Amino acid sequence: MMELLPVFMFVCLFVLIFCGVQVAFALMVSGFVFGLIEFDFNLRPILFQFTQKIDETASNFVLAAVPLFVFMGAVLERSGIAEQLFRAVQLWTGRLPGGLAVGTILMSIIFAASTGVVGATEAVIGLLAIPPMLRQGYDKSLISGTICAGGSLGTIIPPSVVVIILGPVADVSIGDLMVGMIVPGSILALLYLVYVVGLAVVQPHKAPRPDPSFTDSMPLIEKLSITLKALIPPLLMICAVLGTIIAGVAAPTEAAAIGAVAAVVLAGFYRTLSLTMLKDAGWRTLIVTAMIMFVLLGGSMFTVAFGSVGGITQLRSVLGDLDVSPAVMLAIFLGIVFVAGFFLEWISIILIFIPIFMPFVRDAGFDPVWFCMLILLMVQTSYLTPPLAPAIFYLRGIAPPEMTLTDMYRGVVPFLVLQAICLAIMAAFPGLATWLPDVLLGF
Amino acid sequence: MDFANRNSDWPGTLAAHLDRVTLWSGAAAAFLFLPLVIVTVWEVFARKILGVPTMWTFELGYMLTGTYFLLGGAVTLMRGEHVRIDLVYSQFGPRGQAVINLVFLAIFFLPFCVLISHALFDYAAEAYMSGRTTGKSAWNPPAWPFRAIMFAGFVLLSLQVIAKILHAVAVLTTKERAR
Amino acid sequence: QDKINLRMATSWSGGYTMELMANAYAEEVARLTDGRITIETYPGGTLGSALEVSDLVRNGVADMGHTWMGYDWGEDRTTILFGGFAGSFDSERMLHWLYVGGGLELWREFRADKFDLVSMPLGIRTPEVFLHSNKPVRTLEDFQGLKLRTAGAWLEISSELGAAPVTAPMGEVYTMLERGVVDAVESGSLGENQTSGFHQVAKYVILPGAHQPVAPFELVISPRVWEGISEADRALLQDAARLVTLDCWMTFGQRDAMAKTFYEDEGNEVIDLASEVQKAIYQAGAAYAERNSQENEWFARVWQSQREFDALWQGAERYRKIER
Ligand code: NA
Ligand code: NA
Repeated sequence: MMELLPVFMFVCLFVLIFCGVQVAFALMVSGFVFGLIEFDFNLRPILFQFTQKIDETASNFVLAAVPLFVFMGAVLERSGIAEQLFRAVQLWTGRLPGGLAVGTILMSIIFAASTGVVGATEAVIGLLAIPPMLRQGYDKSLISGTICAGGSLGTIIPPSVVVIILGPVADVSIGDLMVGMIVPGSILALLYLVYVVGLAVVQPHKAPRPDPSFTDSMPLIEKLSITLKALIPPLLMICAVLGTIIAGVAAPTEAAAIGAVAAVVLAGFYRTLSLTMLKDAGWRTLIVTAMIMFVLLGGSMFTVAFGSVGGITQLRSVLGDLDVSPAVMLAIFLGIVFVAGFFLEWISIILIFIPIFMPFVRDAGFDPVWFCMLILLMVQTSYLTPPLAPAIFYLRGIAPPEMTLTDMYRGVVPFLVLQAICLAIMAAFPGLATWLPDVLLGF
Repeated sequence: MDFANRNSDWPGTLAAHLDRVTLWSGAAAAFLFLPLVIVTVWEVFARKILGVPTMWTFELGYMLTGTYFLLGGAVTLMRGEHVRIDLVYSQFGPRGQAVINLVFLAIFFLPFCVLISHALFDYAAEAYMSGRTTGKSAWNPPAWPFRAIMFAGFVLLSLQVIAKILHAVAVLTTKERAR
Repeated sequence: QDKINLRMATSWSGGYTMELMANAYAEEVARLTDGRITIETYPGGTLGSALEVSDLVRNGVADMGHTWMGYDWGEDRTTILFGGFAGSFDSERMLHWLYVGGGLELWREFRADKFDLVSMPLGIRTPEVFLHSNKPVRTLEDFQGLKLRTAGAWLEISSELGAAPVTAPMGEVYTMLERGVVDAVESGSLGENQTSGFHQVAKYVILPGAHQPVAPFELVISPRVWEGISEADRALLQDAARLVTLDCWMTFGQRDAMAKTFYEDEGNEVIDLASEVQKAIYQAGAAYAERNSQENEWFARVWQSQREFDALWQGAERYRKIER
């Protein structure tokens, strides 16, 4: 009976989430109830575990980047700078099939390279890209998929908070991971671009082109000046963030604060700064941040309760008893992470499974950096897989009401196929993960 | 707020009062964003330009972030923005949704919040009595004030949970009266 | 005899401390008792916060825990005298003080008195790397204004010596070092740091870790659990802890020796810290301890014992070190 507790715990979580209970609260309550059972209805241990998790989550300075990057996006959107940017992108990529989607993914890559937090990346990209895409009559599923997948690139294109947590847990050099992920990240971004262009060619009604007379009649000089005017503020802002990180002026969290200041300054420069706008952006930032942080808090509470009911030790012994080839073991590991990604957020996934997997991975003689790349791809995929799909949650936080949840779920499916293709490529050619660190790092 | 003029509808009236508390705590939280930015940028300035990193920005920074989201939890609940998977939920009418909210919040989540609040009170009180410091930086301030904020955050969340329960009760009873 | 199954929370997600201390202890206990006493080790974070393992044991979340006592310095600074700091002995003297110099008795009494925990040393670490640095540091002069990422007591002591210590979340340290936000970081021992990646982004490896000449680690056990264990089994649990501590010390030493050429092969420049700097660091650490002795009775008592031991061993090099 007691050895089935970990299973029942997941069932309970599953039921609560499907009844429509808030995900954060479902994680907390199912963790609490099963922890209580484990400790023979003695309240003190489980309450202490949860208290500690509240303290730990509230004391994590890295998470300060979340509100700061959300705020950047909110100001960009409300100041009209985003609108200008997308009009400009339209001018250049407009003639490409799926031009706006291509522009969106390019923007995602740039943002992903400047922040390590998915929610923040996605909020900025989404707020920038959704209104123009809707106006141009893009298919809502395509919009959703593009934003979710593009936003999730934040984990797989360095820098990445996921890597910063994963490295120590897996006992693998963060440096190797940061450099190693450049190749898979690029492959994935390329796959996304090829897909949206291909889709726009095959099904043009899903990605209508802008009125050609508008773009074609415009002289190049005017085009350039519009673009320059629109492109400078966001690029300056990205430079304020990326630049300070690269130049070694600021840590990633600090760079986020500089980005927030830059956003306000630029809005002032473009004379769109107002108290109403700031108040508006401030409220939005608070709500989105609290939403993200409570899911994180719930996830970490669920994780410690899962550890207490013996879920972690049981899984370890079950895997130890399996008698299969290393390749099959690898497939099982990735499958477990994939399925776990339906219900758990990434911190829990890494904390629960990686310490269990790593000894097996090393015994089998796999390259740990390569294995971590595969895990990173799965973690990024977990952002997209329902029911617990953070990428979709973030999108819902910013999308207009006419974009339904169904649009969003449908939209991520093609991108899941792209994830699988990228995973297959990486699995087949371990060298893709390992050669860049070998070449670039060291003296 | 629309319940305020209906004195007979006590659940609605009380809920409206609680909502006001939530709104104020949310406004206070939203305001904390400003010091968070200032403190973080100041550290960069102090380290890079003045050449003297501060001893306190790290701890103040995480405390502001923690306070920000802990106090923001209640208003996020009030606005219905804590994310839920509404594939099934959205199929129920307002009455069905009220039943789900009532059952989950009243039977599971409110007792949970009250117990956690109680534990956080003990957690803060223990730190106050023992004079424990954070031990996370050279500034090393007393641990109890930040723990008291964690307690306050969950008390505010509990109050908003009560408001949500009352709103659900109001939905259910009003419908019955209308029949 | 009873079968006993114990749950051990740890502060580690893997690495040497997990492998050579916590897991080694579980294996040693199983071996000594023919599998009658089993210990399940839980990686840091799976049962609760990695840095607050002693609290997890006190609150009944785990039966025992493996941690570093210095993590509790916010609650009582005496913990750093047992955990090791700039004013500590080297690892050889620390082992002698602990096991034959009266340290163990103080250790157990202190943890029981102030934290209500049964406690004993479990595992010990050799000196840390002093710095992985982008700037060469040889003299006290080089140390002035050095932006150094660190934590704990060394934050205060290093700033007294003229450094500009920076507190930052562990997760950002790598990026900050790579981008030059900080000039240098300090963390584990030579052998441990091979996987940290610090050597890939900072050219200089500076030795020895005068700020952390030794780090004894700790086994904490809930008194409630300890009372339920027979005399004979308690003795076995203690013997196993001492055995693992000594094994661990030797293995760390061996791996450090193997790691030193590793950094040179990787293209790092290995720098030896001038002896005046090492001495200055010890002096600052000792002064720090004197100050804390004024305010904290337990601190004063333990520091006194360590100083008496130091005096006894004064000049031991005369008969312990042979020129070759
Ligand atoms: Na990124
Ligand atoms: Na998912």
